[in-house]
Amino acid sequence: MKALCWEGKHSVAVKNVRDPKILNPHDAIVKVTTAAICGSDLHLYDGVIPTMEKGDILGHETMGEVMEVGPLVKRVKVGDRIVIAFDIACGSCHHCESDEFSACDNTNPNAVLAEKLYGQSGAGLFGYSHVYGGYAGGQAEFIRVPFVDTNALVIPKGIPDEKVLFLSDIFPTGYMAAENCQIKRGDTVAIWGAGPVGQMAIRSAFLLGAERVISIDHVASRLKMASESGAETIHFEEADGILDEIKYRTGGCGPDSCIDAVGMEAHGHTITASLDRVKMAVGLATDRPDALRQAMQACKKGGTLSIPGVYGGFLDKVPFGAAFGKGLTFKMGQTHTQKYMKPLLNRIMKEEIDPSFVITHRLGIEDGPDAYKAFHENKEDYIKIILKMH
Amino acid sequence: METTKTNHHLRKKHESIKINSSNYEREENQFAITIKKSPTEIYSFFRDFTNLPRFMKDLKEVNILSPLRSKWTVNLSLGPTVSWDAEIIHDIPGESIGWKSLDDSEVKTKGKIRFLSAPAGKGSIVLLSMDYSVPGGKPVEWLTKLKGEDPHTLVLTNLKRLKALLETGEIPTTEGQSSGREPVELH
Repeated sequence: MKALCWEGKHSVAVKNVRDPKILNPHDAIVKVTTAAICGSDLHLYDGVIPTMEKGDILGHETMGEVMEVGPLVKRVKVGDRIVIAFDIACGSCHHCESDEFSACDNTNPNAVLAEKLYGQSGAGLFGYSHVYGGYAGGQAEFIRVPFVDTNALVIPKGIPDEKVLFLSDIFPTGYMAAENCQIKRGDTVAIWGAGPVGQMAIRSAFLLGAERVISIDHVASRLKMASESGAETIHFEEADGILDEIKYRTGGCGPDSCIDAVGMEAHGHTITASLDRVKMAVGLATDRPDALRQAMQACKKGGTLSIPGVYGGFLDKVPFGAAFGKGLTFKMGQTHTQKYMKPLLNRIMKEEIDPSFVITHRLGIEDGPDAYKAFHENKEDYIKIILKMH
Repeated sequence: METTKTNHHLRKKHESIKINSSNYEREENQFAITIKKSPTEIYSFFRDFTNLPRFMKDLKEVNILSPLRSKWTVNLSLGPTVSWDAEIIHDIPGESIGWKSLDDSEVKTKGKIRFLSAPAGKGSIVLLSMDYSVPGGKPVEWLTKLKGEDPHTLVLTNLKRLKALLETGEIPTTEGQSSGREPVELH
């Protein structure tokens, strides 16, 4: 089969590789119909996530048709159309039973390695480095899905791929980010990053009762999309002091909650952001947390900071005094996708939301390497790329 | 000196509370894991030593020779097959099992597993120690160093594999999956 493989920093190739096979009794083999490139794939593309290996198959936003199931698969059937959660959960452990699927105890074969880095290991992830299990991803013609009964959402007939594909990651991720804000009716939520997760968070915040959403980015097309979802926008390169602007717009209080939908590679233009770049370049820091710093400074007293943006390592100059002084609550982490897939499918079927509004490009697998390059370099035009695999 | 002494005292006290109130002293190379099964269930599974190769990495097979004796075989990719006879040196149903290689074995090894009830209905706390650090010459190095695994990692890995097998019925793996490291020609 053909697959998009990580070949090193800023290098992705289409390769012919062996077709996947069933390796464990709860596995399924899925013929991928549509996959997407995630903003978090750009962290891999930029080479800032450790433990990637040349030849790793990328992709964690995947859907397709079940071709084969292992002997202990009970619920999912050959022929089912499924959306696959990006995080791999066993469905049996203490965390899975508590709906904390991304904290699953039993799916990361490299858990001992992850524990050395983070103290504990989370769930295995598709196509997202060996510390997260080294599972082959879904930007390929076929994919092996472990514990398919837990990690697949069966899609009813008649709904196009584009409407449901993002149940694999960005819609649950944006939704969980908004839920983590503990929004009360009438709240104002500020969201850093108007990429696909930021866009989903904007719509989700409104669904959950926010009165105002302020979207912060520096890409005009993304801010326009945010505005079309009902958000007020701030172009941070054009604003006179982002923190002053947010404070003014919220009557001096600050937003009730803030979402960092940017993560470890913020493109800020502050002094700390420039220092981050230098430190990352020489290996003195692993992450550039400028969006996070601003969110911590901006948030109101007693407010909540929700972090769906991915962080990998050690952060420099984080204003922890501000967080402590204002008594902020932090909620973060990989999305418990399996918890949200079904309720969010219901919202799609009730036409409360159609997540396909973020798609700007529909390409094929052969276009993959160029798509990564374009997504990386041209954020104005490329907001969300989906790849048709069959 | 005084400070060190005090800290040491506090740490010891804290550790004994953390593990359990049973005054269980941690032994060298001993690790703990919580498994969502009862102590009796895990004991029964483990006591049948023919189950051990299902989760102990690199252990090829265990043959039962008598109620207390068994023959363990390790198949190493970079070395020959190594075997030794082991005997059970203590066995308390539902609580703990200890074993060691016979005195005249080529490989010197011993192990102990203990099962405690976990709080809040979370199953069992399993404490495993496997000692391969007994001086034993080359075979011991084959067992650990050649596979790139120190004894600590081996014990931890085996505990996690035991947990996954008992909780889910399988052990997570990516061995045999597709990758761009083995490209193929398209037919």
